[in-house]
Amino acid sequence: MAVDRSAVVDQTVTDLLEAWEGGAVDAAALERTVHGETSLIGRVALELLESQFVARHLDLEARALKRRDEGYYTIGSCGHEGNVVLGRLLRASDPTFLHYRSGALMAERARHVPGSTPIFDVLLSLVASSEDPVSGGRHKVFGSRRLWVPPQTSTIASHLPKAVGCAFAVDRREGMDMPLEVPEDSVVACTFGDASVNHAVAQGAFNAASWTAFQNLPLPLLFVCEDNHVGISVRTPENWIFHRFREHPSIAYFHGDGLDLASAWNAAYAATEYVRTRRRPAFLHLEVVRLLGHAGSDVETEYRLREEIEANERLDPLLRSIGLVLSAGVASPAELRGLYEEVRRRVQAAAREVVCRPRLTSAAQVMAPLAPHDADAVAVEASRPPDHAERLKLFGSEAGLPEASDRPRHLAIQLNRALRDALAAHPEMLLFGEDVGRKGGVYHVTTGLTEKAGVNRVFNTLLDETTILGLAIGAAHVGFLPVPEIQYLAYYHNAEDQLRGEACSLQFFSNDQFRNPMVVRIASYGYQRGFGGHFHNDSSVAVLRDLPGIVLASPARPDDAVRMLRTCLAKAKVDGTVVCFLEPIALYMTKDLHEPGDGSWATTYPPPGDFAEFGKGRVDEIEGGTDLTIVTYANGVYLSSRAARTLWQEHGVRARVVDLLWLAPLDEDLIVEQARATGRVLVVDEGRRTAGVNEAVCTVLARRLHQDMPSLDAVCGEDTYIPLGPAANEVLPTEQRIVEASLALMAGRGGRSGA
Amino acid sequence: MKRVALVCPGRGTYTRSELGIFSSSGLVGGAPAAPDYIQRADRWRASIGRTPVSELDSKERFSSVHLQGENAAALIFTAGAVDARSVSEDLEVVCVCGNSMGWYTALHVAGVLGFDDGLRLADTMGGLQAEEGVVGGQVIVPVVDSRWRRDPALVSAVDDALAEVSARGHRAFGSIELGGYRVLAGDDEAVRLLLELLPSQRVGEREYPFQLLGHSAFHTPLMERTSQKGQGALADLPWRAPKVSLVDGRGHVFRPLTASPRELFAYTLGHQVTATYEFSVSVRVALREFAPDALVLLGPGDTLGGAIGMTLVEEGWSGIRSKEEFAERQSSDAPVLYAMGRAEQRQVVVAGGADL
Repeated sequence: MAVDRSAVVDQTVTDLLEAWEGGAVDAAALERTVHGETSLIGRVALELLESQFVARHLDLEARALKRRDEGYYTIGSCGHEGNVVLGRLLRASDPTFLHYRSGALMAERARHVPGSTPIFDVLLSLVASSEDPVSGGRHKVFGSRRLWVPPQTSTIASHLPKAVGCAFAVDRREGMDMPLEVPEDSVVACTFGDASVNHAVAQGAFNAASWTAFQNLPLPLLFVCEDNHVGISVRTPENWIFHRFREHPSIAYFHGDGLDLASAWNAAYAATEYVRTRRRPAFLHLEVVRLLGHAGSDVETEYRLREEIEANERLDPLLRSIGLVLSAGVASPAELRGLYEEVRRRVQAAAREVVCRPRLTSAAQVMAPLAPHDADAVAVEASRPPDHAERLKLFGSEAGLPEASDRPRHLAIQLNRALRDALAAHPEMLLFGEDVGRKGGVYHVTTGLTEKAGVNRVFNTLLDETTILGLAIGAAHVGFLPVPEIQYLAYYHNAEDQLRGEACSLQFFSNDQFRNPMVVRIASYGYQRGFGGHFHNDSSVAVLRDLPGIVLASPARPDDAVRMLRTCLAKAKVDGTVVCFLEPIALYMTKDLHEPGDGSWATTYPPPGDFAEFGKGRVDEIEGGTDLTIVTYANGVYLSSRAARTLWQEHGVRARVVDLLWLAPLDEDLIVEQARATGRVLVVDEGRRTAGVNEAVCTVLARRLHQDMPSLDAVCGEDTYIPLGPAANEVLPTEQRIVEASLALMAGRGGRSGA
Repeated sequence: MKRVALVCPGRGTYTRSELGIFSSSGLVGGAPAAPDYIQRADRWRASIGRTPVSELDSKERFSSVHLQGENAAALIFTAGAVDARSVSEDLEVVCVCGNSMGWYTALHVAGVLGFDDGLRLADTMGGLQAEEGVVGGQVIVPVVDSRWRRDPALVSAVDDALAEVSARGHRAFGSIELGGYRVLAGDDEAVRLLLELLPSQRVGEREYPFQLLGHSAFHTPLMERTSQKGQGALADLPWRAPKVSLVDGRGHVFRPLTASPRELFAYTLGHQVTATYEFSVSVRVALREFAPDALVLLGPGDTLGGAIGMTLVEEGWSGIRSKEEFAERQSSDAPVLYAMGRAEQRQVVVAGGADL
């Protein structure tokens, strides 16, 4: 039978306390340093040891709960308890993004806020109780609103970009009329392991921090690498972390022995002081050991010799901490024995209480914090007109205000105006991305904004979408309203996890206690007349649509875009929503719809106060639109509007064009209502056939209409990459294909006929 | 060994029904530890020219004399101290907390101050009030309905009333978080306004809100002078780390091996006197972080039991989620709360062992 290593580790602590000899207890030892080479005093050392005991007994209990089938998580902090020093040295108001081996750090941090209940909180989380004060039973995670620890569910350091963003934002408020949610001298900290350091997303974060500090921009960020020298079963090469980071440009390196409280204290003290006073990033390398495997399910003997495991266990930091406290005469072995056992009894007794606590019992309960929506408050916020003086600043003069002229303008200009108004309406708004500054964006949507709003609010970033989204997430945490720009939809894909794993999950895993509202502007879709190839013509919204809680806005007409942007910003602000605002590149400069010079695609500027109702599509009927319903979005609206005229003028078919406007959530009621109105539906989806919007629309109809299913067909993008040159039109919906498919539906051919 | 948390009651718990508890046949007087503590209390009182506690306790009638700060504090402290000594040694005391003035009792019970020093602390702080006269006052108001369910409308009505009084230029504060009740405090005009503005509510036999007679605006900045005087008068008290964990009125835990006497002094005569006493939080921390098998409410009386019960319900502790479930549990053979002011429950706590 396999040896229970947790029992061995536990017994070794007890044995040490039983066997310890010598070292008289000295009352004065509480107030003096534990030895001559540290500022750590006895009283603090003893408290740190107590927090280490708490973490250890919680880990042991996690395994006991699992054995009794009452707990669901066994990844523990054993061997990493040296991180306790950061619990003490960081303030409870310093935004801190923790990985999953932070038990001792959290127990110690809780001392900063009276009334905290760190033992009970972790136990509630282990049993996935809905009363877990962090996630409400959605994940075992270290977090706390009171202790400013947003929960992280990342396993691969994907929380590092947001830590960079948060640190950047903390010192970014200068000249802005907004409150910061944390004190101005805050330090931002993030912890991670030696294996995840190698992940691209982590490397990107180190690079972004370096890039920022290299330019002498403030970045009060403490990276903490808890180096246990192994990633599950893969060893980290000896000295790799030291070698990799000791001379990282513009990031100061600090090293501490995480097995030794005094050494860890000295290093962490120096590093936190450096970051707090210099406002520059530091890398704290804490060498630790991993005990009891990666998780309870990880059988370490499959890849490690028993002798190695035992040698590791002899490095247990608790043994070193006990030795330090006893040698310094701070407490007696009997007192520490008493303490160790008292903590055990408390943890075990509390565990008996938490297993009776309620759990989540329905999908509705599980999903409650995912996408809160306060329609009234969103409407109030969206209709709130910006301050007039601010508007004058942003538009330059009364004559520069958009309402000074009723000349219809194209999408790019109207969006530029809408962004100016947004900057005037939301003093906490930041707008950033590659090229959005002086250049004004690839398509001039942000022209002049840096000059008018100032470089603190509208600025260029380095070319890395992960950093751009991480910056948005981190800035949103401390009270900013970020509007990041992703230059092309295809560029989003390399950074996708920043929304999927991080931004969109925050409200869910924090039970809506933390929010990262943002409106991500993404220049999207194809139809660029053969130019640009697949990276500049991408239309795969499927990757966005299945993100839980996300809102996808996809305007086509300039006036809709302006109104929707106002709604999106309000939605982010009121409900904490992560919104993606997909701007159709091909329509940025489009003025005409049917004939050259007709100007009928350009619109006037909707006055401030005018906004789009959230989640509602629009319908344009040609001659009553009684024959056919075309359901579409973005460029499809433009093409379908042209096709509808052809259908009427050349074939006498009365069509209606439904612009979905919102791709998540879909306006299902509108789709059903409009399908019923004609009994014939053509879905026009420039996205790929597989997993595209067309599938969602068809599913809605099939699910909701059953026997009344309309005649149905779809004109879609093909399941391919977009080629360069005119061949692009071969794989995308065209006006001609829309007309043909419509006529086929009218003739009872195509799709499911029989209506 | 059964694990219990001790709760020390505060002002207002020595009432008409407690008269006589110090006599040899009374709850406190009958305890083996009683004679020594009561005599010591009497001697101390006599030495500073105050009526001995046994004399107060043996008066024929309960009167305002018993409610005066310098008398009530000594009566309550002594009763609590005797009760704590009477708890069976078969029970493991995992932590101690108190309510308001009960914090002084808790300091003694947890071993921070000996009996004489603890009594001097309680008596001095009670006496300071007499010296200063009554400063402002306290008003108690429920924020739960008659079934002990928190009522958000009442909570916001109380917050609104506090805000309104402040807006009118008077000083009003939260004084004690007391289970389903909130004790508010302020200057005289603030108290008058609070009584006018707070919603009327009946809980049990009582009509709320009402003013706590003879009470100053405890646990508010209006007590700053009392705090300063206390620090001067009690600077020589020999503070020690507690022998058992001590949960204060913020929910901070003073731990036996590491608590700093300097911090105990600073809290007791500083924050504790001039800022809100969050009794509910201290009970919550005692429950969550020490997970006792039961709570033991020391005497005198058992009036704090309602506030503790409300906190248990709010916590959903041990499956108790309503007033009815609390009552049911209390009438079972395994109550979650034992009040030493009740003879039959006291008996179990004194006997200890498996009965608890």
